Amino acid sequence: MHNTFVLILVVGAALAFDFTNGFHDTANSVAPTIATGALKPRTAVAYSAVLHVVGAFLSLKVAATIASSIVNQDLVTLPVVFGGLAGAITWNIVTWYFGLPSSSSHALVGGVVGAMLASAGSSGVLWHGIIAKVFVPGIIAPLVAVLVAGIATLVSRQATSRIDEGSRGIGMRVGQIGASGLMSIAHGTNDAQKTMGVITLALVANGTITGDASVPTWVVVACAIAMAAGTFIGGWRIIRTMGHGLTALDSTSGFAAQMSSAAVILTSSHLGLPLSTTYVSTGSVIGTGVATRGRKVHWKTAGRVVFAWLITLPAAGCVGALAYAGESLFGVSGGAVAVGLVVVAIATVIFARSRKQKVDASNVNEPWRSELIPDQSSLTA
Amino acid sequence: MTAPTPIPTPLIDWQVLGQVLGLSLLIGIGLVAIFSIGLAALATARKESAPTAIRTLGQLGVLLTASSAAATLAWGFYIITQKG
Repeated sequence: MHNTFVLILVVGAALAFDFTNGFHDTANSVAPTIATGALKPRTAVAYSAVLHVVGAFLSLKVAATIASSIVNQDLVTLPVVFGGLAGAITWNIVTWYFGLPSSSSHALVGGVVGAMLASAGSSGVLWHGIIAKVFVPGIIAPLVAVLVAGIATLVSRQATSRIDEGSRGIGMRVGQIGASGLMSIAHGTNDAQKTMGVITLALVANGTITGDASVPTWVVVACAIAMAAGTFIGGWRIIRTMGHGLTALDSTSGFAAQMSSAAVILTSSHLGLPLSTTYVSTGSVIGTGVATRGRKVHWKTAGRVVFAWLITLPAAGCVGALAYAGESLFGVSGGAVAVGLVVVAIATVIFARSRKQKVDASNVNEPWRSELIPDQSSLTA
Repeated sequence: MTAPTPIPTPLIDWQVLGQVLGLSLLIGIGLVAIFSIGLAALATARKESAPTAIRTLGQLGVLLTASSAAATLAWGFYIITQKG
Protein backbone atom coordinates (compact mmCIF):
# COMPACT_ATOMS: atom_id res chain seq x y z
CA MET A 1 0.00 0.00 0.00
CA HIS A 2 1.49 3.33 -1.09
CA ASN A 3 1.96 5.93 1.58
CA THR A 4 4.75 8.16 0.41
CA PHE A 5 4.51 10.46 3.42
CA VAL A 6 5.00 7.63 5.91
CA LEU A 7 7.75 6.19 3.73
CA ILE A 8 9.61 9.51 3.86
CA LEU A 9 9.26 9.56 7.65
CA VAL A 10 10.56 6.00 7.93
CA VAL A 11 13.53 6.74 5.66
CA GLY A 12 14.24 9.89 7.66
CA ALA A 13 14.07 7.96 10.92
CA ALA A 14 16.36 5.26 9.55
CA LEU A 15 18.96 7.84 8.54
CA ALA A 16 18.60 9.49 11.94
CA PHE A 17 19.25 6.13 13.57
CA ASP A 18 22.26 5.67 11.30
CA PHE A 19 23.55 9.06 12.45
CA THR A 20 23.12 8.20 16.14
CA ASN A 21 24.71 4.82 15.46
CA GLY A 22 27.69 6.70 14.05
CA PHE A 23 28.38 8.92 17.05
CA HIS A 24 27.34 6.27 19.54
CA ASP A 25 29.71 3.61 18.22
CA THR A 26 32.66 5.84 17.30
CA ALA A 27 34.25 4.92 20.60
CA ASN A 28 34.52 1.28 19.59
CA SER A 29 36.93 2.22 16.81
CA VAL A 30 38.83 5.17 18.26
CA ALA A 31 38.58 5.42 22.05
CA PRO A 32 41.91 3.69 22.84
CA THR A 33 43.56 5.51 19.92
CA ILE A 34 42.55 8.85 21.41
CA ALA A 35 43.21 7.86 25.02
CA THR A 36 46.83 6.88 24.32
CA GLY A 37 47.52 9.88 22.09
CA ALA A 38 48.10 7.78 18.99
CA LEU A 39 45.91 10.26 17.15
CA LYS A 40 44.52 13.60 18.21
CA PRO A 41 40.79 13.46 18.98
CA ARG A 42 39.56 15.32 15.91
CA THR A 43 41.98 13.51 13.62
CA ALA A 44 40.88 10.16 14.97
CA VAL A 45 37.17 10.74 14.37
CA ALA A 46 37.84 12.19 10.90
CA TYR A 47 39.96 9.15 10.03
CA SER A 48 37.26 6.83 11.33
CA ALA A 49 34.51 8.73 9.49
CA VAL A 50 36.29 8.40 6.14
CA LEU A 51 36.80 4.69 6.65
CA HIS A 52 33.19 4.27 7.68
CA VAL A 53 32.22 5.61 4.25
CA VAL A 54 34.61 3.13 2.64
CA GLY A 55 33.07 0.33 4.69
CA ALA A 56 29.54 1.36 3.81
CA PHE A 57 30.32 1.17 0.10
CA LEU A 58 31.66 -2.34 0.58
CA SER A 59 28.15 -3.40 1.59
CA LEU A 60 27.15 -4.89 -1.71
CA LYS A 61 24.60 -7.43 -0.49
CA VAL A 62 21.79 -6.00 1.56
CA ALA A 63 18.88 -8.02 2.89
CA ALA A 64 15.57 -6.18 2.99
CA THR A 65 14.87 -7.27 6.52
CA ILE A 66 14.88 -5.90 10.01
CA ALA A 67 15.62 -8.00 13.06
CA SER A 68 15.41 -11.15 10.98
CA SER A 69 15.23 -14.31 13.13
CA ILE A 70 13.89 -12.07 15.92
CA VAL A 71 10.46 -11.03 14.62
CA ASN A 72 8.07 -12.56 12.11
CA GLN A 73 9.03 -10.81 8.87
CA ASP A 74 5.53 -11.31 7.43
CA LEU A 75 4.11 -9.08 10.18
CA VAL A 76 6.60 -6.24 9.80
CA THR A 77 4.84 -3.07 8.67
CA LEU A 78 6.03 0.51 8.20
CA PRO A 79 4.53 1.60 11.56
CA VAL A 80 6.38 -1.27 13.28
CA VAL A 81 9.63 -0.23 11.59
CA PHE A 82 9.09 3.41 12.54
CA GLY A 83 8.27 2.51 16.13
CA GLY A 84 11.37 0.35 16.33
CA LEU A 85 13.57 3.13 14.99
CA ALA A 86 12.06 5.61 17.45
CA GLY A 87 12.91 3.27 20.31
CA ALA A 88 16.45 2.73 19.09
CA ILE A 89 17.16 6.41 18.50
CA THR A 90 15.85 7.40 21.92
CA TRP A 91 17.89 4.74 23.71
CA ASN A 92 21.02 5.68 21.78
CA ILE A 93 20.65 9.31 22.82
CA VAL A 94 19.95 8.48 26.48
CA THR A 95 22.95 6.17 26.80
CA TRP A 96 25.13 8.69 24.95
CA TYR A 97 24.22 11.35 27.52
CA PHE A 98 25.34 9.09 30.35
CA GLY A 99 28.47 8.09 28.43
CA LEU A 100 27.49 4.42 28.41
CA PRO A 101 28.66 2.27 25.51
CA SER A 102 25.67 0.12 24.57
CA SER A 103 24.83 -1.78 21.43
CA SER A 104 22.99 0.22 18.78
CA SER A 105 22.06 -3.03 17.05
CA HIS A 106 20.47 -4.40 20.21
CA ALA A 107 18.65 -1.09 20.65
CA LEU A 108 17.18 -1.47 17.17
CA VAL A 109 16.20 -5.07 17.88
CA GLY A 110 14.63 -4.02 21.17
CA GLY A 111 12.70 -1.19 19.57
CA VAL A 112 11.37 -3.44 16.83
CA VAL A 113 10.44 -6.18 19.31
CA GLY A 114 8.56 -3.65 21.42
CA ALA A 115 6.73 -2.25 18.42
CA MET A 116 5.92 -5.76 17.21
CA LEU A 117 4.54 -6.76 20.62
CA ALA A 118 2.28 -3.73 20.51
CA SER A 119 1.27 -4.52 16.95
CA ALA A 120 0.86 -8.29 16.81
CA GLY A 121 1.41 -9.54 20.34
CA SER A 122 3.72 -12.32 21.37
CA SER A 123 3.09 -14.31 18.21
CA GLY A 124 4.99 -11.73 16.20
CA VAL A 125 8.18 -12.26 18.18
CA LEU A 126 10.53 -15.20 17.70
CA TRP A 127 11.61 -15.67 21.33
CA HIS A 128 13.98 -18.47 20.49
CA GLY A 129 15.78 -16.10 18.12
CA ILE A 130 16.09 -13.42 20.79
CA ILE A 131 17.80 -15.84 23.13
CA ALA A 132 19.98 -17.46 20.48
CA LYS A 133 20.86 -14.33 18.49
CA VAL A 134 20.87 -11.62 21.18
CA PHE A 135 21.21 -12.87 24.75
CA VAL A 136 23.68 -15.68 24.25
CA PRO A 137 26.02 -13.68 21.95
CA GLY A 138 25.61 -10.74 24.32
CA ILE A 139 27.03 -12.76 27.19
CA ILE A 140 29.72 -14.44 25.13
CA ALA A 141 31.06 -11.31 23.45
CA PRO A 142 32.60 -9.48 26.42
CA LEU A 143 33.85 -12.69 28.03
CA VAL A 144 35.72 -13.77 24.91
CA ALA A 145 37.07 -10.26 24.46
CA VAL A 146 38.31 -10.02 28.07
CA LEU A 147 40.13 -13.33 27.69
CA VAL A 148 41.69 -12.57 24.30
CA ALA A 149 42.74 -9.03 25.14
CA GLY A 150 44.02 -9.99 28.57
CA ILE A 151 46.33 -12.68 27.25
CA ALA A 152 47.32 -10.52 24.26
CA THR A 153 48.35 -7.74 26.64
CA LEU A 154 50.55 -10.08 28.67
CA VAL A 155 52.17 -11.46 25.51
CA SER A 156 52.78 -8.01 24.09
CA ARG A 157 54.36 -6.64 27.25
CA GLN A 158 56.62 -9.66 27.53
CA ALA A 159 57.68 -9.56 23.86
CA THR A 160 58.54 -5.86 24.00
CA SER A 161 59.97 -5.67 27.51
CA ARG A 162 63.49 -5.00 26.26
CA ILE A 163 62.57 -2.20 23.86
CA ASP A 164 62.95 1.35 25.08
CA GLU A 165 59.71 3.06 25.97
CA GLY A 166 59.91 5.60 23.16
CA SER A 167 60.34 3.09 20.34
CA ARG A 168 57.73 0.78 21.80
CA GLY A 169 55.25 3.62 22.13
CA ILE A 170 55.71 4.72 18.53
CA GLY A 171 55.38 1.19 17.19
CA MET A 172 52.30 0.38 19.23
CA ARG A 173 50.62 3.63 18.24
CA VAL A 174 51.15 2.78 14.59
CA GLY A 175 49.54 -0.58 15.28
CA GLN A 176 46.64 1.14 17.01
CA ILE A 177 45.99 3.34 14.00
CA GLY A 178 45.91 0.28 11.76
CA ALA A 179 43.59 -1.67 14.08
CA SER A 180 41.35 1.36 14.48
CA GLY A 181 41.09 1.64 10.71
CA LEU A 182 40.13 -2.00 10.34
CA MET A 183 37.45 -1.67 13.00
CA SER A 184 36.07 1.46 11.35
CA ILE A 185 35.73 -0.27 7.99
CA ALA A 186 34.13 -3.33 9.60
CA HIS A 187 31.65 -1.18 11.53
CA GLY A 188 30.85 0.87 8.44
CA THR A 189 30.11 -2.31 6.51
CA ASN A 190 28.04 -4.05 9.18
CA ASP A 191 25.97 -1.24 10.58
CA ALA A 192 25.38 0.81 7.45
CA GLN A 193 24.23 -2.45 5.87
CA LYS A 194 21.60 -2.81 8.59
CA THR A 195 20.18 0.64 7.90
CA MET A 196 20.27 0.02 4.16
CA GLY A 197 18.27 -3.13 4.84
CA VAL A 198 15.68 -1.20 6.83
CA ILE A 199 15.25 1.45 4.13
CA THR A 200 15.10 -1.18 1.40
CA LEU A 201 12.47 -3.05 3.41
CA ALA A 202 10.45 0.15 3.68
CA LEU A 203 10.72 0.75 -0.07
CA VAL A 204 9.61 -2.81 -0.82
CA ALA A 205 6.75 -2.64 1.71
CA ASN A 206 5.56 0.60 0.13
CA GLY A 207 5.71 -0.91 -3.35
CA THR A 208 8.30 1.62 -4.49
CA ILE A 209 10.69 -1.12 -5.55
CA THR A 210 10.20 -4.84 -6.02
CA GLY A 211 11.51 -7.40 -3.57
CA ASP A 212 14.24 -8.57 -5.93
CA ALA A 213 15.52 -5.13 -6.86
CA SER A 214 19.04 -4.17 -5.87
CA VAL A 215 19.58 -1.49 -3.27
CA PRO A 216 19.18 1.95 -4.86
CA THR A 217 22.41 3.90 -5.04
CA TRP A 218 20.91 6.85 -3.18
CA VAL A 219 20.23 4.54 -0.22
CA VAL A 220 23.87 3.46 -0.07
CA VAL A 221 25.12 7.04 -0.37
CA ALA A 222 22.65 8.40 2.19
CA CYS A 223 23.47 5.70 4.76
CA ALA A 224 27.20 6.13 4.24
CA ILE A 225 26.99 9.90 4.70
CA ALA A 226 24.69 9.69 7.73
CA MET A 227 26.95 7.24 9.53
CA ALA A 228 30.10 9.15 8.63
CA ALA A 229 28.55 12.42 9.83
CA GLY A 230 27.62 10.84 13.14
CA THR A 231 31.09 9.37 13.48
CA PHE A 232 32.73 12.73 12.76
CA ILE A 233 30.57 14.53 15.35
CA GLY A 234 32.18 12.13 17.78
CA GLY A 235 30.38 10.61 20.74
CA TRP A 236 32.89 12.20 23.10
CA ARG A 237 31.10 11.15 26.27
CA ILE A 238 31.28 7.49 25.32
CA ILE A 239 34.82 7.88 23.99
CA ARG A 240 35.81 9.26 27.38
CA THR A 241 34.24 6.36 29.25
CA MET A 242 35.88 3.74 27.06
CA GLY A 243 39.22 5.51 26.89
CA HIS A 244 39.56 6.44 30.56
CA GLY A 245 36.54 5.36 32.57
CA LEU A 246 37.13 1.61 32.56
CA THR A 247 40.89 1.46 33.03
CA ALA A 248 43.99 3.50 32.27
CA LEU A 249 45.35 2.63 28.85
CA ASP A 250 48.88 2.96 27.53
CA SER A 251 50.05 2.36 23.97
CA THR A 252 50.72 -1.36 24.56
CA SER A 253 47.41 -2.14 26.20
CA GLY A 254 45.60 0.14 23.75
CA PHE A 255 47.04 -1.76 20.82
CA ALA A 256 46.28 -5.12 22.42
CA ALA A 257 42.69 -4.06 23.09
CA GLN A 258 42.06 -2.80 19.59
CA MET A 259 43.74 -5.62 17.73
CA SER A 260 41.97 -8.18 19.93
CA SER A 261 38.62 -6.48 19.25
CA ALA A 262 39.21 -6.52 15.50
CA ALA A 263 40.19 -10.20 15.60
CA VAL A 264 37.20 -11.28 17.70
CA ILE A 265 34.70 -9.28 15.66
CA LEU A 266 35.96 -10.44 12.27
CA THR A 267 36.40 -14.05 13.36
CA SER A 268 32.97 -14.35 14.89
CA SER A 269 31.39 -12.69 11.88
CA HIS A 270 33.19 -15.10 9.56
CA LEU A 271 31.92 -18.08 11.56
CA GLY A 272 28.32 -16.91 11.41
CA LEU A 273 28.02 -15.78 15.03
CA PRO A 274 28.36 -11.99 14.79
CA LEU A 275 29.08 -10.43 18.16
CA SER A 276 28.30 -6.90 19.22
CA THR A 277 31.13 -4.51 18.36
CA THR A 278 30.39 -2.51 21.50
CA TYR A 279 30.45 -5.48 23.86
CA VAL A 280 33.66 -6.81 22.33
CA SER A 281 35.42 -3.43 22.41
CA THR A 282 34.40 -2.79 26.00
CA GLY A 283 35.41 -6.30 27.04
CA SER A 284 38.80 -5.87 25.38
CA VAL A 285 39.52 -2.66 27.25
CA ILE A 286 38.55 -4.28 30.55
CA GLY A 287 40.67 -7.32 29.68
CA THR A 288 43.78 -5.20 29.28
CA GLY A 289 43.14 -3.60 32.64
CA VAL A 290 42.77 -6.98 34.32
CA ALA A 291 46.03 -8.18 32.78
CA THR A 292 48.12 -5.14 33.62
CA ARG A 293 49.82 -5.29 36.98
CA GLY A 294 49.32 -2.20 39.04
CA ARG A 295 46.52 -0.91 36.91
CA LYS A 296 42.99 -1.12 38.20
CA VAL A 297 39.70 -1.60 36.48
CA HIS A 298 37.00 0.85 37.54
CA TRP A 299 34.46 -1.82 38.33
CA LYS A 300 31.82 0.68 39.35
CA THR A 301 31.84 2.17 35.86
CA ALA A 302 32.00 -1.28 34.30
CA GLY A 303 28.98 -2.25 36.38
CA ARG A 304 27.02 0.73 35.10
CA VAL A 305 27.91 -0.22 31.54
CA VAL A 306 26.77 -3.82 32.04
CA PHE A 307 23.54 -2.58 33.61
CA ALA A 308 22.91 -0.51 30.51
CA TRP A 309 23.48 -3.62 28.39
CA LEU A 310 20.99 -5.61 30.44
CA ILE A 311 18.22 -3.08 30.05
CA THR A 312 18.87 -2.10 26.42
CA LEU A 313 16.34 -4.52 24.94
CA PRO A 314 13.49 -3.85 27.39
CA ALA A 315 14.12 -0.09 27.50
CA ALA A 316 14.24 0.35 23.73
CA GLY A 317 11.34 -2.09 23.54
CA CYS A 318 9.20 0.04 25.85
CA VAL A 319 9.84 3.11 23.76
CA GLY A 320 9.19 1.15 20.58
CA ALA A 321 5.89 -0.11 21.95
CA LEU A 322 4.86 3.37 23.10
CA ALA A 323 5.81 4.78 19.72
CA TYR A 324 3.69 2.20 17.95
CA ALA A 325 0.80 2.91 20.32
CA GLY A 326 1.19 6.61 19.56
CA GLU A 327 1.05 5.92 15.84
CA SER A 328 -2.10 3.86 16.31
CA LEU A 329 -3.70 6.65 18.32
CA PHE A 330 -3.36 9.36 15.69
CA GLY A 331 -3.47 7.28 12.53
CA VAL A 332 -0.47 6.12 10.58
CA SER A 333 0.63 9.46 9.11
CA GLY A 334 -0.40 11.73 11.97
CA GLY A 335 0.88 9.23 14.51
CA ALA A 336 4.28 8.98 12.87
CA VAL A 337 4.58 12.77 12.86
CA ALA A 338 3.54 12.97 16.52
CA VAL A 339 5.99 10.26 17.54
CA GLY A 340 8.73 11.89 15.49
CA LEU A 341 8.13 15.21 17.20
CA VAL A 342 8.29 13.59 20.63
CA VAL A 343 11.61 11.91 19.80
CA VAL A 344 12.99 15.21 18.48
CA ALA A 345 11.84 16.94 21.67
CA ILE A 346 13.51 14.33 23.87
CA ALA A 347 16.71 14.59 21.85
CA THR A 348 16.64 18.39 22.10
CA VAL A 349 16.19 18.37 25.87
CA ILE A 350 18.97 15.82 26.37
CA PHE A 351 21.30 17.68 24.05
CA ALA A 352 20.62 20.98 25.82
CA ARG A 353 21.41 19.38 29.19
CA SER A 354 24.61 17.91 27.82
CA ARG A 355 25.87 21.38 26.84
CA LYS A 356 25.88 22.40 30.50
CA GLN A 357 28.42 19.70 31.25
CA LYS A 358 30.19 19.40 27.97
CA VAL A 359 32.56 16.65 26.98
CA ASP A 360 34.29 17.31 23.68
CA ALA A 361 37.61 16.99 21.86
CA SER A 362 39.22 19.52 24.21
CA ASN A 363 38.58 17.67 27.47
CA VAL A 364 37.97 14.05 26.45
CA ASN A 365 41.43 13.08 27.75
CA GLU A 366 41.20 14.90 31.07
CA PRO A 367 42.06 12.66 34.06
CA TRP A 368 39.21 10.41 35.13
CA ARG A 369 38.16 11.10 38.69
CA SER A 370 35.24 8.68 39.03
CA GLU A 371 33.06 10.97 36.91
CA LEU A 372 32.25 11.20 33.23
CA ILE A 373 32.36 15.01 33.34
CA PRO A 374 35.93 16.26 33.76
CA ASP A 375 36.80 18.44 36.70
CA GLN A 376 35.70 21.89 35.50
CA SER A 377 38.44 23.64 37.47
CA SER A 378 41.11 21.96 35.38
CA LEU A 379 39.70 23.33 32.14
CA THR A 380 41.09 26.48 30.61
CA ALA A 381 38.00 27.30 28.54
CA MET B 1 0.97 -41.31 9.32
CA THR B 2 2.04 -38.16 11.16
CA ALA B 3 4.87 -35.93 10.04
CA PRO B 4 8.10 -36.31 12.01
CA THR B 5 8.66 -33.74 14.73
CA PRO B 6 11.27 -31.25 13.61
CA ILE B 7 14.38 -31.10 15.75
CA PRO B 8 14.48 -27.66 17.41
CA THR B 9 17.50 -25.48 16.79
CA PRO B 10 19.66 -25.45 19.95
CA LEU B 11 19.84 -22.18 21.83
CA ILE B 12 23.61 -22.47 22.02
CA ASP B 13 25.56 -23.93 19.15
CA TRP B 14 28.47 -25.16 21.23
CA GLN B 15 30.48 -26.17 18.18
CA VAL B 16 30.38 -22.70 16.66
CA LEU B 17 30.96 -21.16 20.06
CA GLY B 18 34.04 -23.28 20.53
CA GLN B 19 35.30 -22.29 17.09
CA VAL B 20 34.75 -18.61 17.82
CA LEU B 21 36.60 -18.88 21.11
CA GLY B 22 39.47 -20.93 19.72
CA LEU B 23 39.95 -18.94 16.55
CA SER B 24 39.59 -15.60 18.36
CA LEU B 25 42.29 -16.61 20.82
CA LEU B 26 44.56 -17.84 18.06
CA ILE B 27 44.16 -14.87 15.75
CA GLY B 28 43.82 -12.17 18.39
CA ILE B 29 46.79 -13.22 20.46
CA GLY B 30 48.72 -14.30 17.38
CA LEU B 31 48.40 -10.94 15.66
CA VAL B 32 49.43 -9.03 18.74
CA ALA B 33 52.35 -11.41 19.31
CA ILE B 34 53.55 -11.15 15.72
CA PHE B 35 53.43 -7.38 15.77
CA SER B 36 55.16 -7.17 19.15
CA ILE B 37 57.90 -9.57 18.07
CA GLY B 38 58.31 -7.50 14.94
CA LEU B 39 58.85 -4.38 17.04
CA ALA B 40 61.43 -6.21 19.09
CA ALA B 41 63.12 -7.43 15.91
CA LEU B 42 63.16 -3.90 14.52
CA ALA B 43 64.79 -2.61 17.67
CA THR B 44 67.42 -5.35 17.39
CA ALA B 45 68.07 -4.62 13.73
CA ARG B 46 68.68 -0.97 14.54
CA LYS B 47 71.17 -1.62 17.34
CA GLU B 48 74.55 -0.61 15.95
CA SER B 49 76.34 -2.30 18.82
CA ALA B 50 74.79 -5.71 18.12
CA PRO B 51 76.70 -8.36 16.11
CA THR B 52 75.92 -8.49 12.36
CA ALA B 53 74.28 -11.90 12.62
CA ILE B 54 71.93 -10.65 15.28
CA ARG B 55 71.07 -7.56 13.28
CA THR B 56 70.41 -9.69 10.21
CA LEU B 57 68.14 -11.91 12.27
CA GLY B 58 66.36 -8.81 13.40
CA GLN B 59 65.86 -7.67 9.82
CA LEU B 60 64.46 -11.08 8.91
CA GLY B 61 62.14 -10.82 11.87
CA VAL B 62 60.91 -7.45 10.65
CA LEU B 63 60.31 -8.86 7.19
CA LEU B 64 58.41 -11.82 8.56
CA THR B 65 56.33 -9.63 10.82
CA ALA B 66 55.53 -7.11 8.11
CA SER B 67 54.47 -9.93 5.78
CA SER B 68 52.29 -11.45 8.48
CA ALA B 69 50.73 -8.08 9.23
CA ALA B 70 50.01 -7.48 5.54
CA ALA B 71 48.50 -10.97 5.21
CA THR B 72 46.36 -10.29 8.25
CA LEU B 73 45.09 -7.01 6.82
CA ALA B 74 44.28 -8.81 3.58
CA TRP B 75 42.41 -11.47 5.56
CA GLY B 76 40.52 -8.75 7.43
CA PHE B 77 39.45 -7.09 4.20
CA TYR B 78 38.45 -10.47 2.78
CA ILE B 79 36.24 -11.19 5.80
CA ILE B 80 34.68 -7.74 5.60
CA THR B 81 34.01 -7.87 1.87
CA GLN B 82 32.82 -11.46 1.98
CA LYS B 83 29.82 -10.24 3.91
CA GLY B 84 29.12 -7.62 1.26
